Amino acid sequence: MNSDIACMSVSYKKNMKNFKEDFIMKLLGKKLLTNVLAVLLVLTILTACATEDTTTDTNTDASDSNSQTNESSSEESTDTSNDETKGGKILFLSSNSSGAVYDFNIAFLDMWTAELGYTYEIVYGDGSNDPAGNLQAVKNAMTNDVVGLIAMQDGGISNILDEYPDLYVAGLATDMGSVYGPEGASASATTNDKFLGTVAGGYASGVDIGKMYFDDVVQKGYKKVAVAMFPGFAYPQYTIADQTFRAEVEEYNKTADEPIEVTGEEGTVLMFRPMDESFFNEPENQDLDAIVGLCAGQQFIYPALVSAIGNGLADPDTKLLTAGFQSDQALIDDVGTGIVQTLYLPNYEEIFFPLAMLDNAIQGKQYPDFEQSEVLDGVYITISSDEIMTNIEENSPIPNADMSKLSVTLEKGKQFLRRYNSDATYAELKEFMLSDAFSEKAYE
Amino acid sequence: MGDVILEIKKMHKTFGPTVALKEVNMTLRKGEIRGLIGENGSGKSTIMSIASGKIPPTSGQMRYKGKEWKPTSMLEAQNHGIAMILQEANTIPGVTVAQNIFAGCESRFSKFGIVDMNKMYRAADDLISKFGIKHIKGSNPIDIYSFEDRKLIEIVRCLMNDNVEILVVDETTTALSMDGREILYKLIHHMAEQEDKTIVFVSHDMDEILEHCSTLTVLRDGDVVGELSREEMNDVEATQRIRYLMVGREIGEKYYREDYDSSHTGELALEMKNVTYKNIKNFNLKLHKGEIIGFGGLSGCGMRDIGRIAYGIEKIDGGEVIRHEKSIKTPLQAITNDIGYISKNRDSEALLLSATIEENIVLPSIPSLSKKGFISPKDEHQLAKNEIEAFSIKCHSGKQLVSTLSGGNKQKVSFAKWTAKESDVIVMDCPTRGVDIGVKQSMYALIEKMKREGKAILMISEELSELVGMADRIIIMKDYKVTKEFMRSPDLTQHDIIEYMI
Amino acid sequence: MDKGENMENIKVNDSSNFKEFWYNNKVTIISYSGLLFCIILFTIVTPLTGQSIWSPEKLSTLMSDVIVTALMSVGAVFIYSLGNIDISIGKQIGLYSTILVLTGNATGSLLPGILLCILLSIVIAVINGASGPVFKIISIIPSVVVMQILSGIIMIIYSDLGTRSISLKTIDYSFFKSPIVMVVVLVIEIIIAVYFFNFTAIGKYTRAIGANKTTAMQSGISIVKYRIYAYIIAGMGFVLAALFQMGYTGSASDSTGTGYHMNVMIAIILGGMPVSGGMRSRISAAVVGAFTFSILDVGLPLIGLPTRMTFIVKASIFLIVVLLTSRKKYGALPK
Repeated sequence: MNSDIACMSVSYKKNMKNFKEDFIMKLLGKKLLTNVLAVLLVLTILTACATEDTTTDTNTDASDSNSQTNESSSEESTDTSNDETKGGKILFLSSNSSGAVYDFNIAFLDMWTAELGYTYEIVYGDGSNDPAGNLQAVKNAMTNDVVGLIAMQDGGISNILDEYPDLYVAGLATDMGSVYGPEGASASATTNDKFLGTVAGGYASGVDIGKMYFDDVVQKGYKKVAVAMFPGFAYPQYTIADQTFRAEVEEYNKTADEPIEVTGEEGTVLMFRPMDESFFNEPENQDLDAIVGLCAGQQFIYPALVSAIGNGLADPDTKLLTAGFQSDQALIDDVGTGIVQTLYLPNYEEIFFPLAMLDNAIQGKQYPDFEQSEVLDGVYITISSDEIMTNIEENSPIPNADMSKLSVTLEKGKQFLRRYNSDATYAELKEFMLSDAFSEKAYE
Repeated sequence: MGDVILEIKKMHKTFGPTVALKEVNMTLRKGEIRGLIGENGSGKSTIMSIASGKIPPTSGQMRYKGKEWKPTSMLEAQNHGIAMILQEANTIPGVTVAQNIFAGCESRFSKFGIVDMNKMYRAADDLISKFGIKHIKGSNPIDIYSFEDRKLIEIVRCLMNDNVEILVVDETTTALSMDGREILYKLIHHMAEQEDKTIVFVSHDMDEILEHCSTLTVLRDGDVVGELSREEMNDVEATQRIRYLMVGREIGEKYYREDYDSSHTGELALEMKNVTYKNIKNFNLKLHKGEIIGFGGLSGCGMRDIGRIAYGIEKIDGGEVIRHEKSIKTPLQAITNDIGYISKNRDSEALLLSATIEENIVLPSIPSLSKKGFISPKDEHQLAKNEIEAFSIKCHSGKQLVSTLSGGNKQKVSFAKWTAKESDVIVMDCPTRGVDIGVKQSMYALIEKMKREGKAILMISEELSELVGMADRIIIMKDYKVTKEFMRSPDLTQHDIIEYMI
Repeated sequence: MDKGENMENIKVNDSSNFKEFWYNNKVTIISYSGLLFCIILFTIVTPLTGQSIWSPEKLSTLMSDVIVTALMSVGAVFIYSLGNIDISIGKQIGLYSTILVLTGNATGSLLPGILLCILLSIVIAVINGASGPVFKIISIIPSVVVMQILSGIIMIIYSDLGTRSISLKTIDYSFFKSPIVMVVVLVIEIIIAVYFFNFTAIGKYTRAIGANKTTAMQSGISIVKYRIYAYIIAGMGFVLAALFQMGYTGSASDSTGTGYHMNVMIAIILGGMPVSGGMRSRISAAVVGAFTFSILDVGLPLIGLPTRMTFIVKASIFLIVVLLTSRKKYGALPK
């Protein structure tokens, strides 16, 4: 058999050699690449987790905390008159894991728990406020030294109380609907003297919320207004607020010269997703003067509104009245002068309430006039002008958790703690919580 | 015969605790077609794998063309002129035939780094036609070709260069069709006789070796136990002698059946009436108790499907499979009616490799072992134990995984499934494929015994000698049709049958 | 000639007996050792850093943490033995819990709810079990479909109710909070599961189907029928698990059960279940895995690991176990 293809054995050999080298390089390269990628993957995950967590140390030494120095420089809690202070760990059931509120809470707790001689640990509440999820989270974090719980979510409160009968629980930024609401699942907490009440994130009652927005609308002279809100099954107070708002308007229109039009039968529900621009396509939502946002409006309504204005779908003068606080500079600048005319936010410093209630209970020095746990309204900081916003930026701890700007300073706060001031009363604490110390006036 | 071209001295190879080659000495000459025959595990593939650079030896020397020979890879060996065609698929899928043939040599056809594909295709076509192959085109993707054709392409690739001195054909013919085999035989004879090259033909097919080889080396358990010259291979007793060498003991004269009694009870065991399935049209069959019907044909002739249909695996388009006046449509119905099926694909269809011997054997019998839902492990164990003993399955416990057994023992387990169930009709597809001679012998004895007991057997086989030796009736199929039926007779030869197959 | 036969000359000697034992049971041994290691580690370390893991409170936390996962996983062994994965488990638990609360409040007894859940689970089992072979699709697809449907049903229920969570009003569910009850129920479930798995045709056929469907079919096993049986048994386990999930807080919410199918998968695989099912599947995989998983859940915070890092540790351990145990020659991806 003859092959008429001349193959110079030299070039054949060289080709085979190249082929071999090429092949091996590819093989090595692939293996190497795979391993590098795997390592990268692990590293990024670890980094991502690590960056959030500089503050979950349960260290009692205040010099380790990342908060700025504060005026009461005491490192140890030695200046109390009482020599048997109880220590222990406080669990903080947080409903967020990042953001301005979270950063503030961490810094506040760092400072105050160090001062009071406690340690604390963050526990992440169930993402959907599932009672079982909240309970499990608390259970997993529970250790012998836990003495108190500050809860930002109300799911499963009575289960937690049942599970840990010696635990003191107080609420923060929640109206504890499952405790105080009609047919609440945790209603048994109202008679449980380990449950110390809560401060809501703003008005506890939807009626008050509705009236607040109504007053604002009237005052600003808006004539055509739409309402958008979070779903009622998660935030029942917003449903009530919406209804109240419309009732108030209806009442107002009976005697007004220029009636106010509220579009739609009921508020547009934002199912935990930002508003879609198509909202502005609807015929009833044309030429609005303002939108009342019963939700975190800067996050959930503002972007759609800006975009709609840009596309000509919405009137460029459409305003937004809403709640919440975003530390994004552009958003901050916008408030008062731009789209957002009024921004209501509960003062984060209200975390003092649950802490104070817990401290007194834990130290066995409950207020003599404290009889029944209740929901306190949170006092709003009403940001309705550039001026107020500037004050906030400059003088309040809210935008960047600057503890030196606290209005509830260590000195001030200790007045309400019975271990430092045996004359302190619940009535005084309540008055304090509802005072201007928690409104925008604190920062003027 | 010519000069010595390869010398192997004291070749020793171990794989962990297993000794594959003890101390093998072999001398190859130019112009020789050397047959290497042996059972599984004899070392016949191992020795040539070492010579062709596939695996390194544990100890021993080789001299090739007068110089010391220590290849580190098959590529190196091929460069020096020793090429081996493997049993498994060795082509590159996803590219063309030409690219396969010239893999690594592309630069022959390239200018400035760009390959002229047309030039490559033409070269491939030229080469292919030189082998007498007509139906393969260089420009076609290799994936459209059957396994057999791909083997042919592999052969072409091996011989693309002129420098091949020794060509090793390792169990390749099992993959090839009739035509393919013819091409291969022509090729190796040409190379040996016209071009003074050396061929090493590794196989366990006695007939093939006896026909084409000029010398024969028999291996057993890692040792050379015999060498036969051409004259010795021509001897009438050659087959017997080779078998003796391969097995290491006198296995007796009896291999296949020795009687020519193709009688049966006349009672119908299984009937296939007007069965139509895909290309099979109106197929009829009557299998009786105590009868062995053999099916033969090339691959793809339809006999495999007949077996599957008889067992209810395939859903037929028309007709019926009947036993005891009941229609058999699913394997479950088949089993309930005492039909068993031994698939050709032992590892992938007949057995659960990851299960124990016991678990495999009792599997079809579970409904009968189940007492109100409860299946006693003792009962299972006993049932399996009986079969293990009856078949002399080589294992140290019934709890051994089937994957650890040798091919022969696995086949025994396959059989045992149905003897445990006491099936009356057994459809067996290539029942002795890949099984050593000793085990084959005992299986033929068993099949004969089954016939005497009145069982009905449908045997599908690619080994003509097996059909001629065992069946009462042989049905030959081609292109999904029955071409001829043969009755058992002492004058029947394989040759008579072959022409109806192709 | 089969390739493996070249190595037929296996010299049988004493050391190979051990090797064989190891090879056959490697996975089980690794997973038991994993559990043992965790137990020892936490027994030693936790008292040093705070509270011992064996304190009664922590033990009961452990039990309540493990019970739902363990009850689900023991049932799920039947599904995993087939070589399948069920993505709908989480939402099944969610729906069953919801039904139990709703019917419990409506009728004052849990029994009607349990019966309704059993009925539903059978329907779901038929869908999940039969769709694969009947429509010739990989079984994970019907389970995804079922998950979506159940998701939708749950959403509709809760938005109709106008709330995110519901709870039992009149029924006393303290029975379900007792760790003793949990242990007893789990042991009973394990006994029943082991019986079915090892001593009846259902279990044997399930494993055979997972090992090699074709061989199973050729050995007379009706694939559709036994897949359905396997899924039904698993479904019973899920209903039981939902009972305890709901029973601990007496409540259910629109997010109950979310992600539970992942917990099952991790627990079962951690416990040594082969990823493609088959003959080596065992009930013990579910139990060992669920306990390992929960011990990590409960123990890691005790040794000071911040709660959000426990996920990383669990994921890493899972990865290591998978790498060690799932490299099989005959392995195939689960379907």
